[in-house]
Amino acid sequence: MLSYIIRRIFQLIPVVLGVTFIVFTLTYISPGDPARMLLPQDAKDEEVAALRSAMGLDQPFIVQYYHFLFGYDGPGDSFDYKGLFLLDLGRSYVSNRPVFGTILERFPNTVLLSLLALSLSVVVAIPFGILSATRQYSRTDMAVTVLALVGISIPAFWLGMMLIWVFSVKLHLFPSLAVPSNPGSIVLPVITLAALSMAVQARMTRSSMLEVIRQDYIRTARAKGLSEEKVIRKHALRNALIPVVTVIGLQVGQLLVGAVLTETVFSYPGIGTIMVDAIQRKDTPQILASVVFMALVFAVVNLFVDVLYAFIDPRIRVQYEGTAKRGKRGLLSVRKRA
Amino acid sequence: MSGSVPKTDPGSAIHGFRQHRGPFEEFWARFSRNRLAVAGLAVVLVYMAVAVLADGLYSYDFITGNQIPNAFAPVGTTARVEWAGKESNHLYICGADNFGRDVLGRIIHGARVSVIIGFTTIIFAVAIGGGLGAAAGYFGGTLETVIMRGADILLAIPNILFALAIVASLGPSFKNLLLAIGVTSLPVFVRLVRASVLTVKDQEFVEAALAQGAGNLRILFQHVLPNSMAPVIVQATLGMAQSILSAASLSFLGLGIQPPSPEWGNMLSEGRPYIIIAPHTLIFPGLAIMTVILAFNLIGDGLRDALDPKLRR
Repeated sequence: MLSYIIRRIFQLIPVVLGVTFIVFTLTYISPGDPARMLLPQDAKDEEVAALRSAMGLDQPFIVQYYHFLFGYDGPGDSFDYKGLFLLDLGRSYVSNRPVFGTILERFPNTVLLSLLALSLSVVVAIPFGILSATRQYSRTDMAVTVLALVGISIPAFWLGMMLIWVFSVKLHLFPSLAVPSNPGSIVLPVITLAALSMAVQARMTRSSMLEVIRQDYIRTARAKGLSEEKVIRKHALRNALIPVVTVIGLQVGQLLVGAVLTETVFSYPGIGTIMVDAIQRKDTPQILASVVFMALVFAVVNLFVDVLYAFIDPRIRVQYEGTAKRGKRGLLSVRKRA
Repeated sequence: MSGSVPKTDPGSAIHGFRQHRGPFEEFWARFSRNRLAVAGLAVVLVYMAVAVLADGLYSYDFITGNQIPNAFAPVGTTARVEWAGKESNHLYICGADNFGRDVLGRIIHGARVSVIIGFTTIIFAVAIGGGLGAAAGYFGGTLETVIMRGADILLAIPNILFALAIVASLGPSFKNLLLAIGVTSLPVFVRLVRASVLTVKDQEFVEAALAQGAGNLRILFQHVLPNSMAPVIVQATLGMAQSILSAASLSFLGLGIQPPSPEWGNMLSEGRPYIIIAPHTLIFPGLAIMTVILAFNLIGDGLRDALDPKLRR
């Protein structure tokens, strides 16, 4: 088990390096010159050049990438930062606050929103998915299927605005601006964010349940004379939920990222609004720090979920070990044999 | 009926189609049984027709030009418009926006933008991603390791976040939007094509082609790829929905198509401040996005059922 966890953590290393490399390359090739942006409009070229070298921007690409990861100690102190791994990438061009200060301050708000949305979608989607599968082709099933289809097709930011229109503008039930301190105000953003995962989970539960209730062991359970409720709850559900749990795990990361659009619609103070504000003000360090932070959170959450599965379901671990050891049979080997 | 299988028709070799119906008829019979999928196809066809005919329905200059006196004209009102030096009565079927521009006309021209984005990005992703995936699956070895690790890294960055980073660093423009969406939809196809090439390449008909002395490229293009197309077609349809949604989301955040060019996402972001006085500027563009995405999803589901060998009898 421990070796499995260690191996999964090692697999994270190339991903982290790759993600940071891509994001850094994007900053590097981005057309704006940060030094010129920080100086007044009429700054002379020599001043810009001096600032560029103080910021370490005159260094070669790979050196700058190293600084990005492990920190930069320039001639002055004002542009020093400790690097991505110590969660310090310097200061915002706009507010002059440390970029990660803002991110870490707002991140719990995004986590709160995502976890509430996840709980809501699990609580709603799984019962309806089961209901839909156990009464296949009934009215309930049709309604769930259609709603789930709409759910996977509706753009979250539009759903959010429509909810504001109905529940804030017309019915005055909920405020249109959301803050974490007011529980009433986060009802609409939670519903907005949950819609997609709710639809995905309901579809998954339904199809997985439909597959399971056709299995022989379900027929056996029924033949034994168990009540239908017991068959479903004890025998079908436990097996049907395995793929659903996988999907739920994958959604943790997706919800954190999906929060970007939902937060924008409700002006909720999370990572998403930081990113969008930074984009509008062309505050590159803030944008890239947020993107790289979210991407790393996404990778770590997915790793955590994977490891958790191995605890829950030993089959997954065995399966993983099975594929890792399987030799690759290439076409060339076929040719040699032929 | 002859017992020999024509070698130019790989479909008959693996799927055992009856000879009196071609593969397309067989597929269509299965697909058209799914009424929702056919409805989705109809919506997409209408949508493409509208995108092609956009200029005939509403002049581009008219829907990007201001008609300030008619700002926020409600749904279904007729108002005087001054256009190209003449005054005339114009029916605002879906109302007017904050500049008095016709919302329906902007939606129709927006359809053209999203149809272009959808097709360009998916063709790009299928061509490049599929090519890399096919090479990885077929040749294996170091090439495969390099390509697949690259795809894993791209997949590790959530789509919308990656697209957002690309456009934010390169600057918002139509070209960069296409690039961002194309690159983010690429890795799925690498994985998919590699996986299906791996399952196909060990089949007997490939061995038969090898025995006949066919070269690598011939085997890949004539025998392996045509037989691994089914999941790619399904994913491409679902990918269209995803691309259109990404384009709308990025434009909504101000990173895609810039106003006054009409695009569904930027129409929503322009209409957002006027939610109280003119909700129609938000309702219709959003409905357009949702209908099209729903239609592509329905077609995708229908294709999956129609092409899935597991469901075949």
